[in-house]
Amino acid sequence: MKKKLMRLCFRLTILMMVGASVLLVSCKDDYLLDEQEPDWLGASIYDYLVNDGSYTTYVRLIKDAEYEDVLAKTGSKTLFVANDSAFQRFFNNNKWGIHSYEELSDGQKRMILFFGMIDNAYLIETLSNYNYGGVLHEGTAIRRETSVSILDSIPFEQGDALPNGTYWEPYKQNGIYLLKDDSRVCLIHLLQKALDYLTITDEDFELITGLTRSWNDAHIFGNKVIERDITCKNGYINVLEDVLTPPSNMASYIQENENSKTFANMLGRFCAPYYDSENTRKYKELHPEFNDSIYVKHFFASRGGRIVYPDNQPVSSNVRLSYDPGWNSYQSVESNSLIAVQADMGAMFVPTDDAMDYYFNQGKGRILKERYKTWENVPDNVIIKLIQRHMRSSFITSVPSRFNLLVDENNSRIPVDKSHIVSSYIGTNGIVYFTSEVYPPDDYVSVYAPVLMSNKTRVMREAVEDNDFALYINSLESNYSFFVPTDEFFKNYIDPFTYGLNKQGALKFWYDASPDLEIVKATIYQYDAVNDVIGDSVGIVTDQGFINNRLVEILDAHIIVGNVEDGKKYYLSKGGSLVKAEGAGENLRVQGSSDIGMNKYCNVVDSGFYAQTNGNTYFIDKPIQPTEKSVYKVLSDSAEFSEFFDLLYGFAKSDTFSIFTIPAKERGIDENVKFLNAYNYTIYVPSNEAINNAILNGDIPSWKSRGSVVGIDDMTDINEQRAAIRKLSRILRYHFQDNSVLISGLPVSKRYQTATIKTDDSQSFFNTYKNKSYKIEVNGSGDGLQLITEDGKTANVITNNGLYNILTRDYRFNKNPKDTKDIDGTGSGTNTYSSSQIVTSSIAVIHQIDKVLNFE
Amino acid sequence: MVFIVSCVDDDVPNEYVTTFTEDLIGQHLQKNPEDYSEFVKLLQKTNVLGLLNAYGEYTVFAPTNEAMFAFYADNGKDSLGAFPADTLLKIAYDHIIKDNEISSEDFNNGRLASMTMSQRYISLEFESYSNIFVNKISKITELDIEVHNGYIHKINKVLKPTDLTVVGSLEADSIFTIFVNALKYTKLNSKLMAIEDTTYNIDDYDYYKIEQANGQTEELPRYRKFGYTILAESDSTFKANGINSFDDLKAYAKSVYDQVFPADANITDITDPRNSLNRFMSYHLFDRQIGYRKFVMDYDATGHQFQGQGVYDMYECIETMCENTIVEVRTDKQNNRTNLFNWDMESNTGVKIVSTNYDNDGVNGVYHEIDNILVYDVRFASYISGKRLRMDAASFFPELINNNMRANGELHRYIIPPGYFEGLTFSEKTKFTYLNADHRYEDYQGDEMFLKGLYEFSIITPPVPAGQYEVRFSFQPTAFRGVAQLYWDNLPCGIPIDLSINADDASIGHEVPGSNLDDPYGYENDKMMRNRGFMKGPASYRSVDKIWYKADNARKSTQSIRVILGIYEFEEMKKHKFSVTGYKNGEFMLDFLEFVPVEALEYEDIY
Repeated sequence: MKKKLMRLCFRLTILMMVGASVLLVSCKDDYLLDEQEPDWLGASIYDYLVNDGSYTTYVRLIKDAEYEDVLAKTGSKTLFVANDSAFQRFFNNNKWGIHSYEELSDGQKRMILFFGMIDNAYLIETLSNYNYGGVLHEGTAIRRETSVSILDSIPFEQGDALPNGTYWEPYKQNGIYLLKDDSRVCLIHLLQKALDYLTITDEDFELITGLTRSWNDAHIFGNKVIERDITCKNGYINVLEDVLTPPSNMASYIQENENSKTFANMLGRFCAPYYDSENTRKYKELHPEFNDSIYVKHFFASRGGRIVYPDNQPVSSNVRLSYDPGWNSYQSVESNSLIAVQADMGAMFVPTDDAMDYYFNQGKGRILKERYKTWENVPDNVIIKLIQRHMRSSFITSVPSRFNLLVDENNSRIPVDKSHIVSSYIGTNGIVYFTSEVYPPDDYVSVYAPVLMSNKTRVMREAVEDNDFALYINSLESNYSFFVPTDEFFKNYIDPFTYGLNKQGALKFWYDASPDLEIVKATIYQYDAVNDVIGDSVGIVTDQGFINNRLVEILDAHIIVGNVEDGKKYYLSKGGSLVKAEGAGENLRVQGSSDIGMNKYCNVVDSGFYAQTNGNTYFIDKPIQPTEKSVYKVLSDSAEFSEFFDLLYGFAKSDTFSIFTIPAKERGIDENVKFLNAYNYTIYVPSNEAINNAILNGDIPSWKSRGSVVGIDDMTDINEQRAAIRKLSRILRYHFQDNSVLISGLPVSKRYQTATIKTDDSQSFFNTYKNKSYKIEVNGSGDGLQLITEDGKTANVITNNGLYNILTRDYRFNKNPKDTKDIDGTGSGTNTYSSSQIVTSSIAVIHQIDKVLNFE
Repeated sequence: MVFIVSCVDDDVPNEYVTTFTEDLIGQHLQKNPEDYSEFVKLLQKTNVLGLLNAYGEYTVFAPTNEAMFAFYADNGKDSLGAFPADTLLKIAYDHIIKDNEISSEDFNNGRLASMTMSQRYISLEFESYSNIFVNKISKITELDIEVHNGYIHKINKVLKPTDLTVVGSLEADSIFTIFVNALKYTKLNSKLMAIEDTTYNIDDYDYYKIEQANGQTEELPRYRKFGYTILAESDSTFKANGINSFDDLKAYAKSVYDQVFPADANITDITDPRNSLNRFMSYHLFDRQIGYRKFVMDYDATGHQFQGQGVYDMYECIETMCENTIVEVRTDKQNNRTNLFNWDMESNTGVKIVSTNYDNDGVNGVYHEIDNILVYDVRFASYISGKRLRMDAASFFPELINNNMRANGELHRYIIPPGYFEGLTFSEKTKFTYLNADHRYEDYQGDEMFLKGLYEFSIITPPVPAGQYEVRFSFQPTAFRGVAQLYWDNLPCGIPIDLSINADDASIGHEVPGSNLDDPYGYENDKMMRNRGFMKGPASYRSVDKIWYKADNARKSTQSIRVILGIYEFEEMKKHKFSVTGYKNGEFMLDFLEFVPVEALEYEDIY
């Protein structure tokens, strides 16, 4: 290994030395050219064009631009020119409506001349190479910046051609001098080498340009090079089949196109005119008669665009495009870094007006129409999701042969098919595919869509967006039931943390739409838990850590993976809490575990039932309220459970066999069951009579002596005492079972693990392995449960006194409630209420049973 | 006038850098005709000599002239010219390892990490440096002849790996008659015959963009070979356990497997995979070629795992060809032992490979003799279902070891083409790569699965015993990671996780053990992290050179996280599906998955 390293170092040194020498040699060659002119060089570019005689129109362009000397005496340049016959065809038919050379404006002349001119000399073969960041990239370039100056032609836009929006209003009356962008204009070259390297097929080329190509053809946009690499002293000339005029950039073309007005109007919402003092000054120097102002159109975008409005107010991230579609010098990204201009360009799928109309009026977009009536009414933060889905960061990955790989920025498939492409256009910064289909984002079809589009669910929308739940509930691979308290009813949420305080509190969440805030806040109300009465407000929480913690807790309780209309009664929410559901559609009503105890229901409001692609969304009239009662609370409060509780509670807290614990950190409301995790459980509580009998029979130890049975506390032999404690703990733990099983009207028949581990190889009823949990088999037809235990005996849940299906929840908080001030700021605690957070919880359902369970 | 176009194609070929004075391998062999003239003739005749006279990295086991002549005689030939050309090329390739210089410093008992140019392993047995045998038969008579492009080891017999399949090799070994018969009667031998997937063609995947990262260039696997391993009891071992015949074996298998699979006790067709004898036999078979060092030793020896007495042992769970079963192979560092199969530490019993009879080669696999009866019995089923199973992601895919991509002693970034791993599916947009053990990583066993961009893939895990399990996913966060949604058996595991967040972020809460005087060992912090759905990395390994990950061990590292995916009920022992969808551009990596029976949670260690 050492030898290998030494050799590697040595070789690297030699390579560096040789590399340096090569660089020196290269420079020496260049120096020689200053001394003498190689024989193989021909005339200058200008002389060649003049002498050939076929380029008289082009030569006039050069002269009018006073560029003769540059093209005769300096360099290096690469030119894409057109001959006289091409110009003749151009004057017969062109987008400017020009019929003769004389009708060309100075600006148009300069655009034709400089758009076909590239600094430096490139053979067609080497045009695909470029350097970026000191690294040579061979055969991969598709674009070059041209010599066009944005000041060659300053377009004046009439007011009626401007987009709608606040920032355009001042110019609607009189128009505006408006640059479509202020970055360098690029030409697109589609050359064999790059097409091969980038595996862009001839079929792709045909779909993109409408032209067929042969091997080694070279095209500038859709304009074929008919004569290439004419070598001149100061560069190369390439002759194009037709006159090359600058195309528009993607944004401009979408706006110009007669068949994409709907999409253009949507896009137009996300741009504004920005005063360009520098170009105004420069233009005035060139044209002293000019006394107006020049503006530049920029889109609100994270890449290449503006992130502040013209008045310097920040643009919210949720209304920024991923890139500026009008950015001439568009740069794509890889691994979060910009890549070279030459390497790639953008791509956009733009549904035609017909496609947009169909989608909105008859297609899957009817949800938008029903909600907003017109496209114009769809809010920016909603419409931008549709636009973004149609904007592609890379042309190379968006060519037709790769349509099957298209995914959006959230990795959701975009189902573009070649047959959807109505036409396409290669702009200076990317390609526009006009499509016969609309590709709505998952946000429009998922269970989130009704929340996104409703003006009644602002709180839940913020909860979803601020806590990264959108990706989760937008997943079309899954199926959800999503319950959404509307803003009006996002109140009376009893905060479980306050059950650990002296004063209980209820929260009302509301959205503060103030421009400088736009956040959710919570008003705290006093809550009389005994009489279930909400009192006066005592404060407002603005701490977003607190707000988001509770909103996540609420989200966890309001999302159920699966369909709650499948016939079961009870469902586990995403957060693990139990939800009871009955009915269907608009008639569905649900209850959290606390609601069940208080006989409250969450009903669907405002006809708020939505069948979505990945599940159902229900707008409801109150938050689903999980119980705050812990296992400790339920067992200690009920006289019917007193024998079992006494046994559970008799262990010293420090004893390894103890059941209840008060954690040193992250405590609950009162005490927690030590071995419960963030999961759901069932606890079988034998009746007092059953325990008494078991104690007297010697089946289970007790703490106090009873009858002739010596209690653990009275045992004198320490070993005997420890053995009895261990035995008691193991029997008690056998009453705690993984998974919540409820009496729900549906049959049950399954074995579950308990919290007692088998420690030997003896044969048990269920053949449980050593070091695995003893099991309980639970059977029931729907109205009761029978338990079969590892000793082969049976027990039954008692259903005639209501002591079954009792739901509990053991919380863990970041702050000890006992050390926290009350909701109104009173009390001696050191922590503020707003600093409290719910960290985790476990849930359990308690049933009373008629016998003590045992495993041996 | 200066054109800039001329510079772009300039390159400096390495071969022109001739500055070294040492001999090359070919030159050295040619300069010593008294030892190697016959071997040189072989190299010349097969046009391989030029290769060894070029720059590169080679290891050559060079047979002497005497060895060559003896080889001719053994094959009934009188000279080299009497052999067919393709045979000669194979013989030449059997003696050369390309792209790796292996000196005796890297020698261990067992197979070398790199394969020969004929794609065969070279196996070493040595007690001392003066007594080293290659492929059991050929003694190294001169070690470590160091030349410019590698090492030459002089040997006294020509190497001739068998042309038999692993089944053929086993059948030819006379000490395994009961085992061989049972293999034949159960027709399991027919499942051990495949050699190579000839439909695999590296050129089919030239659409992948080959990238460089961290000093390595991505590469596609050159071939897709199948491989098998047989662990076989000899007749004498069977006899020592009261099994004297095929019928005895059948009865023994029934006595063991009917207890574990009582529902299948009445299946008498021994070719049925549910039959007890079939299960007994298939439990000895693996769909991957596992050399002596590749059960656990090489993964333990990457430098990441702590070594020495009293430190945590390494366990490798390997799926067998008996459906839904695994064997456990472990180290016992306290007693300086390794390759312990299904070992019961309480009774100190289990199965070991016989130290004098392992790495027996076949063209498509290897067999090892074992010293005791290997079974998936109640004792082991109970044991394995009650303990934490940590499975390195590489262990899921037999193709990695069959094609010598895992723990092969060199750094590689392998692109895994679609269909290459049977247990892996991914979207067309996904580029799935395997980075093998790298001293810079803070990975368990040093390796990881790595992806970037927008990806979507599913992995089928090895079988996990029935029970209630906490399932965990381990990774190292960096600023370059993205956001991913994880799924377990097609159900989402919570909301998407941001893999760029370090463990000391408030949402995870990692405190470096020892940094908080109130919690010196970090146990309270462990509980807090668990409450948030996370765990620290295990304390049993670390980054070897600490260039990127500087912590003493993964437990102390803020860049090592185990995410608790949830608690899941597995109703039977079976395989599971772990799926990942990248939601935002960025990297993703998978180090290992952990399956922890809930029974083991209360008393779980930090390793």
